[in-house]
Amino acid sequence: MYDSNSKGISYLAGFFMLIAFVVASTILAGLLSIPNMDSDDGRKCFKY
Amino acid sequence: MTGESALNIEEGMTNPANSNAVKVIQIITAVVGFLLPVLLTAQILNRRPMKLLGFKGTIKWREISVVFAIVITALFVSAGLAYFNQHIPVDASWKVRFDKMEADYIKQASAILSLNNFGEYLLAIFIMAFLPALCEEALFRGGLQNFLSRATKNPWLAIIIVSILFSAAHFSFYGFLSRVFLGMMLGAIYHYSGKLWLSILAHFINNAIAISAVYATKMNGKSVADAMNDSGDASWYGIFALPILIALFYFFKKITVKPAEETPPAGKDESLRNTPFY
Repeated sequence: MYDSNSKGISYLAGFFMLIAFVVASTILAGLLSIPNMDSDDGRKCFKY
Repeated sequence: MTGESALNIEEGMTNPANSNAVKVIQIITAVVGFLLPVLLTAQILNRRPMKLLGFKGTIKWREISVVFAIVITALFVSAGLAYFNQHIPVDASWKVRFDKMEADYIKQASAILSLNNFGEYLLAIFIMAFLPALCEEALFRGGLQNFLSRATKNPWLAIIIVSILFSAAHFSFYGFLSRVFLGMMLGAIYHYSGKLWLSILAHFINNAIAISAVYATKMNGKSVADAMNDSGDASWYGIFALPILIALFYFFKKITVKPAEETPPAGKDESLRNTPFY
């Protein structure tokens, strides 16, 4: 498949690169969620 | 790192008192966990990342109406598969685990789907229908299926593998087959049309119908859990709906216009691409 905008990296590498990024960004999303873990009444959602 | 045990986090996520926090976490997970990695990968692979993912071409009303009919028909096939999936014999210890996973999912969905008024219904449509449709389609169809299809030159192999990954990512045994089927339907829409907006639309309609059904049931005085625990015999629906679905896809394939791929400039030998002689 011709693509003049390709940067020359294979799509199979792109497939596995994307899976690795998803794993890493899911962990990042979990860390970013921590400051939002307050329940509706203002208390912490989770017991420490 | 958070000082939380996994059990505490699980309890917190399924507690209706934490509804707003769960909604924010759902948004962060969809955008950071699904959308950002696919945009980053497309940027690394291509100079026109959005076009590579399939955000291209014009959408015609005819395509939209056939996609709508496909999703409605597919719901019946999906219900049949879910019924079949529920009756697959599994070991007793595994059944306890699967039942707990399903119960937790229903509790978590109930926490997000408070649905006490029309405003909360619209918010649920945005958080549980639009955002997952946009972010999951960008990742699974625009990213994984697209890249694997280009790498293997076998689109249907890519559709099947990515549909299995799509279903596995939802962590539901009882919904496994129906989600593999949903993934294949969305994958086929993307493959035949080349337009990611159409598979996003199909995914959105599918989710929005489920939320609307739960909202209607709740307005009739039932709980969200009751609305989600419908397990009637739906096997016959699937058998009747499947030929209609195949006919709809045949029609869709005929009417959809795939955006043209670029053609190589005259005199360029593609075998020399990425070499100094190109």
